[in-house]
Amino acid sequence: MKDSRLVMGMPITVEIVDRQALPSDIDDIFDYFHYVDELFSTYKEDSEISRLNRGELSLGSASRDVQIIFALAEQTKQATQGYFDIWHGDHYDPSGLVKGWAIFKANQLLAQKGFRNFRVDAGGDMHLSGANSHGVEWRIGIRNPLHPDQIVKVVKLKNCGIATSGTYLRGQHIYDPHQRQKELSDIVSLTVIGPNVYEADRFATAAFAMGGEGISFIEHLSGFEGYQIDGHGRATLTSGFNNYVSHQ
Amino acid sequence: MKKLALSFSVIIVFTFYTLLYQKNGAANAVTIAPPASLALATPATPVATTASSPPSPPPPPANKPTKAATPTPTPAQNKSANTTPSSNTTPSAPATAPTPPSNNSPYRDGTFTGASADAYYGNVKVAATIQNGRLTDVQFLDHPGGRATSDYINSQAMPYLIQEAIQAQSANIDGVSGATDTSLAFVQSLSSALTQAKK
Repeated sequence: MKDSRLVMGMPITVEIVDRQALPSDIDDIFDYFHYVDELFSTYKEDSEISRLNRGELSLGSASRDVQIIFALAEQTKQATQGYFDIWHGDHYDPSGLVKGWAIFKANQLLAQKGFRNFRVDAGGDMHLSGANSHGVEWRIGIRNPLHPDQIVKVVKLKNCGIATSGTYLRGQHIYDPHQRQKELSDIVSLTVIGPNVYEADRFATAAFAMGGEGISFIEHLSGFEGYQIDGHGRATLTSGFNNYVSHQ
Repeated sequence: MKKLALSFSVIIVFTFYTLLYQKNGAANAVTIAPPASLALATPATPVATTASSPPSPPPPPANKPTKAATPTPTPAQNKSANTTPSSNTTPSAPATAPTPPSNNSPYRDGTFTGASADAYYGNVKVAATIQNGRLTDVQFLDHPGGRATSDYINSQAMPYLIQEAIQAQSANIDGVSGATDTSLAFVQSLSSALTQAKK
């Protein structure tokens, strides 16, 4: 059973392979994403995050999930040398963390319902549990940021998360500070595979912000693999990434 | 006696040299890919790495994430200090004075700055230029790469990384991972700019 809907401004897909799945199980997951959107949307005037930013709500009296996200944000900021920060100069915007966290929580909800084989995908970041409809590892394509209708890699995943940070915009020129005239490649996409989608998403976001150094940050992160694409169509892989790649 | 001491020291030095040489030789054999500085210089040639790389990756070095400690400003810090949460709904004023309508287009002429739209890791902000009632130009005023000039690729050797040219694949898949965020933010910012241009 599979359904896709537009929530939080992005397509969300819930796919449950187990036969006992009911439409109401899928509805519960979309209800959960709507609940998260009500709390954290910076586009909604009455969301808790908007009220926090206007000073109408203090963190101490915010709901538990909001407090959890703020704690996770602080932890993530420290784990990424400040590259991940929900403080945007004059307001908080935790949406970069909320997305991966919400997918991970949705995943846990399905596991609590007793399902074993399912996939929750929000805007291209997803968590893969158990096996796909053919009874084998989930086969996930990595989109070509230079030609979004193509995929450039297929990875086989089971009980882990995958997330991609990137941009389809060109003109992200990076120059070598030691040789000003020499332009280095611009990074357009960074895909991270990790133990779960929350971890993969937050480190993909932070590492993408590091530019060319992001992929070596992922390399040094135990339990994570990465696939980086630059504006010239060159990919840089971490040492263990090929263990996930499907060659058929 | 002097001769004996000399010959002993020669033997000891030779033994040390042999041991050291073997150790270095072994260490060299584990290095599987060229250092990044070399790899970056070579254009997109696929490197045959699958065959030469060990089945399980070597454990990451002990000096873990501290490596990338170069303090560059985060996109979060230097992006849109003037962007308030309300700017997502309250568009900023037109950059140039709109001219009176000259035709039956729904838009006034002028340049209109869209609201900054969140792309999750950074903001996207565009300016739309309308001439003779038609959209003639879209400029990016802010996007997640805006901070890039202060960034650089560390030329320090990264012997574990592998490089290859990307290649389109055709295969059965269950899902696709890719960045859709920025394109969505682009649509949001542009539609906000066009709303302002509405007569």
